[in-house]
Amino acid sequence: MKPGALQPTSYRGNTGFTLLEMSSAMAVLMILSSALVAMMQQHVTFLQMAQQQLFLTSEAPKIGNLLNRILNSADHYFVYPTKEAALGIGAPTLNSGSAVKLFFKSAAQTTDFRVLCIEPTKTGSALRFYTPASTAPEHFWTVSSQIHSASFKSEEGILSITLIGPANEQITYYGGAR
Amino acid sequence: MKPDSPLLKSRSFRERGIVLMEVTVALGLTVFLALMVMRGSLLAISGNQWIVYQTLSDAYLTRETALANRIPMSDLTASSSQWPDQNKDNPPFSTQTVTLGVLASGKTVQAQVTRFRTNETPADTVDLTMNVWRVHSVLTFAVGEHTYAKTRTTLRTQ
Repeated sequence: MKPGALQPTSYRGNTGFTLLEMSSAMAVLMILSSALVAMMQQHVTFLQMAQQQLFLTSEAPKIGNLLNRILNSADHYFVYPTKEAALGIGAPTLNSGSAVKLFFKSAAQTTDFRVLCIEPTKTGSALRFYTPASTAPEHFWTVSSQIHSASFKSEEGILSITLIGPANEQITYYGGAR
Repeated sequence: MKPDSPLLKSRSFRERGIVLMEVTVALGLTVFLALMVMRGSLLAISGNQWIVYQTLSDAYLTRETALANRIPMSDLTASSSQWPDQNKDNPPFSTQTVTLGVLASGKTVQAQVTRFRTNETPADTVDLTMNVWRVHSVLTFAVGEHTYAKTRTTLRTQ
């Protein structure tokens, strides 16, 4: 450093902040930082709320579309306590059950049946549509695997399917005999 | 910045306080941006709420359609019918509070359903002794400040 090139005393004296300025700046920073943290927390809360609504906003409409098409084509139905009873020769129930046997009239005037049931999975439950086969295993496709539980019930002559979502939201679809 | 920088040299003791104002304005802009983001989040949530209510109401209306198709004609045209005759019965409609479903927050969503039927029997088919009824169900529910109504009609003949 060359002598006289830098004058610390005069530089600090001309450019430094006073204690009052620093205190004011820190107070402003703290207030604004607190506000930002609160807003960030609120934003995260909103995101969690949006995530919780995902079942009713995204999954339920798709389930409803499929169930409406299936139930509107059914001729009649019986509710069974279990999938095995519905696919086998079990007796139907008048109370709520976890499976429903749907009967469809074919173009050849024969009657075919399919089974709609709720089955437990590793992450919750799945709503599945079974086509019986002469030899096991039956064929099935999954209507939805993002539900917590479901129940089938016959009330006032119509079939009700109540779905419980992962956040305990509840929605009920209806259909039944033509 | 070098101590002998022209920028620093040009600032007087009073002007140095402006830095504080600059910092405040910058953070103020940041807060404004955060507010805009929060407003966007609120709009997204409110949009979700609208979709949720549409989903629940659509699901409930499947019940009205199924019931209207399933109810025996004698019950439909009885004096105690759930769908009163709009032109002859008094009151001309029935109103009922129904539950559409339960939200993730645990809130039960309710709505009003109004039912009535209208006689649609053609005048020139009296000799066929045919009765035609149009069964109406009107579901009314509120989302925020707005009230929505959805209808389902089913034609029943005898």
